[in-house]
Amino acid sequence: MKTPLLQFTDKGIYCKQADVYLDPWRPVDKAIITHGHADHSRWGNKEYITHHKNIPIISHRLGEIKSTGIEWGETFTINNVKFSLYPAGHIIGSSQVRVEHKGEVRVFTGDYKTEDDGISTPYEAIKCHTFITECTFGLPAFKWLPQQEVLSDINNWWQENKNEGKTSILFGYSLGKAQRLLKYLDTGIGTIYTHGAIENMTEVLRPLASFPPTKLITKETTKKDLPGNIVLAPPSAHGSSWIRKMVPYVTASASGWMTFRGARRRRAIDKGFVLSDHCDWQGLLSSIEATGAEKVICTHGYSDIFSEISARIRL
Amino acid sequence: MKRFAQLIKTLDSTNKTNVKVDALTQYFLEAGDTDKVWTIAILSHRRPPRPVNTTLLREWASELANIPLWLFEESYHIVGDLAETIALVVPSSQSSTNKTLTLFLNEMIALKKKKDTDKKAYLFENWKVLNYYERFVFTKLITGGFRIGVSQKLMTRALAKATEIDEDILAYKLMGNWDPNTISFQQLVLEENKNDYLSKPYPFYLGLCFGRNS
Repeated sequence: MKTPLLQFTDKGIYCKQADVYLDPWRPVDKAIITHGHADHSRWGNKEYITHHKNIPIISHRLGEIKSTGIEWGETFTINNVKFSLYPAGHIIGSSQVRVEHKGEVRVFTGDYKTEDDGISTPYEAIKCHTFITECTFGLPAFKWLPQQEVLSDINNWWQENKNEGKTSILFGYSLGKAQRLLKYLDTGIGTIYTHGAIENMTEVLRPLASFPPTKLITKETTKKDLPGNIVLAPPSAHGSSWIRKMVPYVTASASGWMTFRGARRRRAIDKGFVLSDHCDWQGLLSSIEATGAEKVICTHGYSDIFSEISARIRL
Repeated sequence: MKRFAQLIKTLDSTNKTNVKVDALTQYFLEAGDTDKVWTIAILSHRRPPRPVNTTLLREWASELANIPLWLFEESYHIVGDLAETIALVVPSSQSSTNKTLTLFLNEMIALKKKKDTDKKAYLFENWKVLNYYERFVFTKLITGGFRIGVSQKLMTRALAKATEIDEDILAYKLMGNWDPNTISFQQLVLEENKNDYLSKPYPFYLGLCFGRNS
């Protein structure tokens, strides 16, 4: 039987013909990395090939690494297998990987979203025979509102909290979500304070996109500095002693998971904003359609359910 | 209904008891009298019986959402709440309703005796026009379950703040059999009734020591 161009192994997605792994989860010699989130760009690979905008991100996270930066649409060949990267719209520098060998084309999406967030290069649908798609939110219950609506809700929420003399604490992942929130926060309302993890990552990204000014919370930040202002913090800071100093405060989280009331309540967060860097149900269906792929393989999230529905759609 | 849905949204989006009591108090100050009676009924486990069984609700919701039933079931399994699943999967609407909570509940009571085709038409009509949160609250009323993290005691406390009637007296007034369909806010809450005081226990002076000569 012919070896598939991309196969799932215990180290990650593997292209045997080129001896390259895509987003491997164990150390390998040569890795093509879709984006900088920790579950996609792991430590210990001998060589990292990725979009050039992702290099400062993974270098910040992983330290000294051997890396090669690639431009969108630029083709590089390894053992006669042609590789190229296309924007995935997930976070800055996030790519899909197109793999072509002897006329067969496979695309691995990494994480992606179809909405243009105004920061990362917007997603492009790539024609292929086999489409390996993430489906983190592959259920019809997930429907995103345009980001403008959600972000204006967030600013209104901040303003209301300010009127009540409270500090707004907004949780989002330090890479990607935090900058997407930061970009659209209304500095007319007040000052944007940040947690160290978010401040450091934002500093790495400032040369790549424009963001409003932020103030790092330090030991010198006093209790009276914060009321009326907003604090961007990673979800892990929730319930920590770092947060307790900010009383009186109101918490909110911005994530696709906030679709479910239960998800928010279990985390004991006051307010949930549904804002995701992944595709919603309709986004997944339309991007599959746009690739024209004969075969769709789903990874991440509700992959069994989504595989079932995408198979039926193709029938 | 708009105001009621807004109340439920506020109650649902906080973990702080004081915020919940304030939201309820504000609601009791603003809402119409019959809506207030129904709200008290709903929050004290006097909901009208379920007009449509959940098997039909699932079938019809998946039909309107244009997804197969198995996919609806999978989604329900993950969301964990039937009304919430339905509100999420049916096509979203930005419009809203001007119908009162009382009108909705009267329609739901009348719906119980109607034919399945009428029930389905009624649900489709409302699912299509209500916005997300109204749709969630509407379906929650239909499914009959309405546990949203507000106890009867909390509701009574808010009502006491809004009406300036003693909380214990209110708790007594709200006990027993009363029908939200026939009783007015005046009769249920505002009217002074001698019997309201019968339930107050005699304030025994438990600390008092009876002397030998008493």
